[in-house]
Amino acid sequence: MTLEQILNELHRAWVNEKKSPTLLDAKPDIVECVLEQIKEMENNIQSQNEFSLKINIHQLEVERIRFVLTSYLRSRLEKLQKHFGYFLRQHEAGITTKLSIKELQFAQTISTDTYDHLDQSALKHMPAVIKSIDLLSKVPPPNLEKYVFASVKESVDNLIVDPETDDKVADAIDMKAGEQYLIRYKLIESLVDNGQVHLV
Amino acid sequence: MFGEKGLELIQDFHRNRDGTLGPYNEEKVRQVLEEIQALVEANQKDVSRAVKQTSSRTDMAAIEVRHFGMVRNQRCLMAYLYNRLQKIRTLRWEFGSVIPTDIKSNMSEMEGQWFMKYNRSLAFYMGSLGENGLDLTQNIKPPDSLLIEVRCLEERGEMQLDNGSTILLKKNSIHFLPRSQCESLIREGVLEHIT
Repeated sequence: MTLEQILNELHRAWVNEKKSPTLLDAKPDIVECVLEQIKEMENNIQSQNEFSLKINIHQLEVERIRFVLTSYLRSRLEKLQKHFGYFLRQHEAGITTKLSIKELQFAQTISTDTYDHLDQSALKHMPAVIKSIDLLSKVPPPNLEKYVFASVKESVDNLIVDPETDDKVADAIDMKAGEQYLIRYKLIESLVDNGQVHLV
Repeated sequence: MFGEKGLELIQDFHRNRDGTLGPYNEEKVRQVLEEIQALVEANQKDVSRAVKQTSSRTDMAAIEVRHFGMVRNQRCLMAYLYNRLQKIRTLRWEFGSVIPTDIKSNMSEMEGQWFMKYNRSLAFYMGSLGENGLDLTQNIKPPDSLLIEVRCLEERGEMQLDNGSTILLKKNSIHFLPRSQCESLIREGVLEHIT
C-alpha cells in the first residue's frame, strides 16, 4: 500500500474511533505500518543534515502523523479503561476482533489490579456473605444508544430502525451512498466495522 | 439510619470532584465497615432464631432491611474507592509518572500501590508499540509548528537537547525550542508557552 493509502486509512480509523462510543475493531497492521513509515521518514530526515525548508516541512509532517497515531491509540485506551468490564466480557464471549493482543493484556492487568485494590481496601474486611463482587459486570458499559452523525459510503437497504412488535410492522429505512444521518450508534454498529458507513 | 456514613463518603468525593484528589477518608471507611459488621452480627442472631422457628414476621422484615443496608454500604464503599481510582488515573495522564507530593499525601497506601502498578502496565503497553515504544502522553494537541517560544519559570540549570546542544534554564529566560522536548516541561510547569 502506498503511504497515502495508509495515511488515509489511519485518518479514517482515527475519526471513527473518536466519534464512536465503543471500541471499533483493532487495526494492529495499520498501526505497525504507520510506525514503520514514521521511522523511515525520520531516518531520511536525519541523514540529510542541512537546514532547508524542505526538511522542516518533512519534520512537521512526521510530527503531524505521530499526533494522529497517538490520538487514535489514546482514544482507544481511554474507552478501554473506562469500560474494561464490558470489553473483557465481550472478548470472553468470543468477539475477539475489538482488542489487540497488547490491549487485551493491558485490560486484564487493569482488571486484576483494580479488583485487588478494592479487595485490600474494603472487601476483605466484609463478612463472607458479600465478600466478593463481580467487578466485570459492575463496571458501566459504553452507551451504545448515543446519537452519532454518520455518512453513508455504500448503500444499505432495509436497515431496521424499530424492531417488529405486536402493534406495528418493523420500521426500516434505506440509506443511499452519500447521504448523512443522525442516528443511534447501536443501529449502525456493524456497518461502521464493515466500512459501509463512516462517522463524522 | 443505616447507610448514612456511606452517603457521607460519596458526598466527600463529590465535593472534591473538580479539583485534584481529596484526602483518603480512612476514618469514615472504617466506620462504614464497622457498620456492615454490626448489621451482619445482628442478622446472624435473627437468622439463627428463624432456623429454630421461634421468630416472627417482624424479624424476617428486620433481616431483609439489614441485608439491604449492608449491600448499600458495600455499594457506597465500592463507588468511593473506584471513583478515586479513576481520578488517580486522570492525574497520571496530567502529571506524568511522578505525582507532586502534596497530592500523593492524599492517597492511601493501597492507592499508591495501585498507582505504581498502573504506571507499570501503562509503560509496558506503550513500550510494546513499535520498536522503541510510542509515548502516548506526548503530542496531546495537534502540532502547528516545529519550534515554539517558551519562557522559563523556574531555575533548572542546564538541559541537553536531542541535537546535542545544551541550554541554560534560568528564571525568565526565553528560548526557541523544538516542540517535542518542551511538552513535558510545559506540563510540569517549568516552561511557559509564549503565544
